This record gives sequence, C-alpha cells and structure tokens, in this order.
Amino acid sequence: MALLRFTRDHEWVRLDGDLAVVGITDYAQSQLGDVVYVELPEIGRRVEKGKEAAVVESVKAASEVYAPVAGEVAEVNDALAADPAKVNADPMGEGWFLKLRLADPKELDGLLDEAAYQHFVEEQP
Amino acid sequence: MRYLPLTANDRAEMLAAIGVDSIDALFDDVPEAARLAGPVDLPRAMGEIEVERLVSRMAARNVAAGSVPFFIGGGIYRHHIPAAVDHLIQRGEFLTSYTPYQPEISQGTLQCLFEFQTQVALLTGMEVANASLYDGATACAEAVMMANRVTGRRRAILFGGLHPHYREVCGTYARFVGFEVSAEEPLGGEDLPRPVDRDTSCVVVQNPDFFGEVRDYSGLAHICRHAGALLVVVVTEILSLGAIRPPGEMGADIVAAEGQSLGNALNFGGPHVGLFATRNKFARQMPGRLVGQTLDADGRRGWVLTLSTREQHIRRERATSNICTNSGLCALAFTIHLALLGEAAGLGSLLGHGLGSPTSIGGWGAVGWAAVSGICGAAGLIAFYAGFAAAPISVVAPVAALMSTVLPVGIAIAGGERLTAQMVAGGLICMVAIVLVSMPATRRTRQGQQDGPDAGAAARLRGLAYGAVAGAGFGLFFLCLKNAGQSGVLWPVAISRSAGTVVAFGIALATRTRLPWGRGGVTGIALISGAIDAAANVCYVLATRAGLFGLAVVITSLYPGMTVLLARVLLGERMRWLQRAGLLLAAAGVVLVTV
Repeated sequence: MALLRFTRDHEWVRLDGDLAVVGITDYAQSQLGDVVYVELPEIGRRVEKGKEAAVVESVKAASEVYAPVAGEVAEVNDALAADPAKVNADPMGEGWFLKLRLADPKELDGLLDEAAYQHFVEEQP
Repeated sequence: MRYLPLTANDRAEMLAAIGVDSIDALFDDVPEAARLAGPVDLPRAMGEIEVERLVSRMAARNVAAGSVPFFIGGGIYRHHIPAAVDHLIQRGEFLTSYTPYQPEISQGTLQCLFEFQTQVALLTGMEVANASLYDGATACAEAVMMANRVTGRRRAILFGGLHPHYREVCGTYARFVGFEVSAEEPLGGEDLPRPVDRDTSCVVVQNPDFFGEVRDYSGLAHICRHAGALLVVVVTEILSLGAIRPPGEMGADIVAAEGQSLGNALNFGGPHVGLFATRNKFARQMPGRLVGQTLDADGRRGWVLTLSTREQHIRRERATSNICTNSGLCALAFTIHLALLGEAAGLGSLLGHGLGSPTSIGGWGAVGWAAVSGICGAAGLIAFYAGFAAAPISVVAPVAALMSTVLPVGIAIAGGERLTAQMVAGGLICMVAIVLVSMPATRRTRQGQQDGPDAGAAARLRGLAYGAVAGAGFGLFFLCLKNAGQSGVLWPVAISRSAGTVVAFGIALATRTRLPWGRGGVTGIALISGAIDAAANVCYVLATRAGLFGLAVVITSLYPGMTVLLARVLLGERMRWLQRAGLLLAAAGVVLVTV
C-alpha cells in the first residue's frame, strides 16, 4: 500500500516510486461543485510546500491548489484539460493533478494520515 | 440623500445633539495659524440669468470640433452619428443600468453586450471578444499584460508606427506593473522581425499604422509564432476593417482597437470604447467582462456573465485585470450604429467610397484581380457555349469541368496549401464525379460514323480545345476572384461581374450579334440566372475566406451535379447510370473532403 497523506487545505499526496502524486480530496471536490477548468503548472517548475501549484475552477469559485510538499513538477494530468469533470468523478484516481519529484521525502511525515484527515473533515462546519 | 443645503435650524439641531455650541468649536484642534482668516476671494454670488450669460460668453470662445475642418484628433475624429443612436442609448433602461451581476434582471443589457462582442469578433476576424475596455490605449496595454501571462515572458516590442499615446499608456503600466517595453524607431520603417527572440512576450503593431500605411503582418505573425511570442495588432480606426483584411486573417493573437468612430462622439478625448478580441484558447487569460449565451432551466436562450473567475470581484489578487467594468454605454452606441449600417449596407457604402480611392478597398491589385476574374469567366462562358455549337457536348462539358478544377487546385497546392490525404482522396473522387455528371443526358449520336471517321475525330479535337479554353477561363475566374476576395466580399464580386459583362457586351456589339429582346422571355430568364449566379459568387468568396481555397473550388465545381438533380426533379429528365454514379461519387467525395 502506497503511502497516502493529506493536508488541511484538502489536498492528498500519494507516494508512487520516487514521485508524489497530488490531487484534491473528495471533500474538496464536493465543496467546489462541478469543476469546469483546471490550470496546471509547466513541467520542471519548482514549487514550495504550501505555495500555489495549480488552480481549480468550479461553477462556484476558483481556488488555488497548494503543493503539500516541496518539489519539482515531473508530470501533469493533461487529460483534465479536455475533461475537468474527472476531478469530481474520481478525485483520488483519474482526477489527479500533478506529480512532484520530492525535494525532501521527510516532509510527508508532517502531513495528516487518512484517519486524522477524516477526523479533521468531520470537524468542519 | 437630498442634495439641498442645510438651514440654520438644521445646523442648530445637529450641534445641540452632539453638545457643541458652534461649528468653529469643531475646529478647536486645528492651530489658529492653519485656519483661514477671512473669506476666499471669489466673485460675489450671481443669479441664474447672470450665470447663464457668463457661461455662455465663455463657451462661445470655444471652437466646436464639428464646426471647422479638424486635424488634431490623433485617431479620434468626428463622424456622423445617426440620430437613432443617441435616442436609443438615452432610454432609461440603458442609460442608468449598471453592472449586470444579476442576469435574471439584466437580459437586455447582457444581450446588447453579447451582440457587441459578436460584432467585434466578426470585424476583427477573431474568435472571441470581450464586452469592451476603457479605450484603445488601455486595451493595448491590457493586451501586452495578457501576452506576458500567456507566454510567461515580460518583454514587449512596440512597433514604431504605434500611436504615441498608446505607447505612453503601455509605458505607464510597464513602470508600475513591472514589465519591459522596448520601443522601435518612431518612423515605423524598422525591420520588425529582427528583435523578436525567446524573451519576447509580444510584438505590438498597428494597422493602418499611425502614419496611415496599410500593412500585411502575416509574415510577422509567422515569425512570432516561431519564437513563442504573441502578435498584438492595434487598430485605431475601426472603420478601416470594413475595407482591409482583418488582423485575425493575418494571424494576430490579440486585437486591441478603438471603437469611437462608430456611434461615439469626440467627448473631449473620452470616454471611448476599447475593443479587445483574441483566440479561443486564450479566453481564460483575457481581461475584462465577457457575456455568454446559455439556456435557462426551461431550455430558453439567455445571457450571463461568463468566465467571471478571471475578474477581480471573484479573485482579487489573481484577476486578469484591475478593470472590472466595461464602457457599457459607448459599446451600446457602437453596436446600434453598426447594426443600423448592417453588413450589406456597410459594404455598399464602402464600395461607394472605394471606387474613389482603391487603396481603401484593398488596393488597385485587388481591383485588378476582380476585373481579370470577370474577364476570364466571360471568356470561359463564350468558349463553353461556342464549344456546344461546334463540337460534341459529351467532350466539351467534362473537359471544361475537369480543367476548371485541376488548374486552380494545382496552383493552390503548388502555392503551399496543405491538404490531408483524406482531402486529396476526396478531391480526386470529386473530379471523377465532375466528369461523369457533366456527360450529356442524351444518347450519343451516330453523327461521327455518318460523316466518316475523320470528321468525328476533328469534332472531338475541337471539343477538347473549346473545353480546355472554357475550363481554363472558369478556373482562372475562381483563382482571381479568390485573390480579390481577400479584402472584401461584395465589391470583388461586383467588379468581377461588371468586367465580365462589359467584355461580353463588347464582343456582342463588335460581332453585331442581335440581342434576343422579347424572344420567348429569354432576356428575363437570363437576368434571373445572372442574379442567382452573382449570389453564388458571393457564397464562393465567403467560402474561400472561411476555409481552404482548394476545397472551395472542388466543391463549387460539383455544380453540374446540382443541374442534373434539378433537371430530374423539376423537368423530369431521366438520368443515365453514368450520371447517377457520378452523383453518388460526388456525395462520397464531399463527405471525405469536409468531414
């Protein structure tokens, strides 16, 4: 089972070999509503932990997606350009946003595990 | 709140309420030295009549721009404004309405803006236009900032022929937003492609430039694309787009223009209406308000603000522009004026101007192409019918049809038009179809055998020659008309047909051919066929402007198929199996080239 971690900004990050796959959680997509557009970073860009890595736009709002960990963008999910609704349909699977080459794998340790994130979501108003 | 002065009683009441005995007591904290000692030295108060006379005297010292020849507009000039424009924009529904954030109560405003956007996109030849910006100069600066966002670069090259005010506005934005503008020689004669490199976000050019020169930026568009930079074309005189090739056709990525000349007065230099158009793929990086068409819950057509996430009332820091409004009333005046002109009338009035000054309708070159196309077309027709009289139709018609397609398509391909394998296959099938349907409906006569084999061979050879000349005439007609049609639609057709008519009449008079007046309604039918043919020519020019020339020619050349079909339906003529096969092939070919 690959290592899966969450942030309080409702991103998830899953270790896939030496890459970290990043997306938004099911809770985030349900709060956003129908996603109509996703703006992804260019390959090779360095992102800092907690800084903007992508933008997700729904019929209700446009929100920044923050990098859960620092790293270099290795891959982006180009399929979202044609079908942004994948973020709603399968946020943890086909709706992934980008893959980061980790700057410091230890940063993952500071994030929430699945149980802690579930607890965090249940506390949301 | 009423805008009326307070009475002494009002003041006393308010002072009592806050427990102060005089107004001066409110200023106790201001040091004595900083206070005004006596009244300001102003003229004594005047009555209404006195003020009116004084101001009228002052106003009479102005020279109204409309009362004298006027040369200092720098792009802003007085134009006729139809009375309907001012009358309509002063309706309360338009005049006092504000930002249409609530679409359910703003459908009228939104629909007008949508139509405005449609007009701007059509005029500029672009895919999407916004609901207007402040004026041409701010639109130009916004275009540069948008190019910076799209390319991730921060250096814009401003063409020397750009309006100096536009250059200054760009410079102001550059200083405070933080990007670089490098200006080229102010005389506009510079070698533009030279400074375009991998750091260039965009090149800003103007057409016609500030010195009035009409330019073709197609080559520059290509160079920009190659360097990953955007081409911004500025148009300070929007009326010019009724006559010259729109920036969209030259490959512009963004068009920033001033729309004042349609429907808007000088207004002492503003407010005016900035037009902004771009390509669909950049729509999300576009500044300004955008109105979209949609369906309501009951499936009826309606209008809403769309892609609002670009705007600062949704995303303050990340907005594409600090401008979160549009020149609503000026845009409305623009739309009403343009709608009053209408496409045909607008072009008609341009034709009137154009004959006086050929440069404004695409230059003598375009007039020449149109005239030559008409002469070629007339020559083709004469050869075609002369061929029918002197040689077997079964030879003349197919040869002419084939020649008229192969010649222009060959030239188009030689000229670099790129067709996919499927289009080529479809085109070849169409050519076979053209030959098949052009075969005459009557059975072949045995005339050749009766006259002896030599006479038959000679007739076929004559048919080949007539057919080839006719086909070459038709083909050149297509080619020349397409070239003339680069800068307009109606007037190239008008000039082409006039030239053809003059030549045909000339030949008829020179050879003393008797006109068939009143003979069995021949004249009437000829007139109707001419009108329908002219309409078809207009459609053809529109087709060449919209797509690939080669395809337009191949599909246009299928016209004998339509004749055969109409003859079958209206006249009950029987089709030979060859013609049926031809029609089927034609259908298959058209599907291949268009899908």
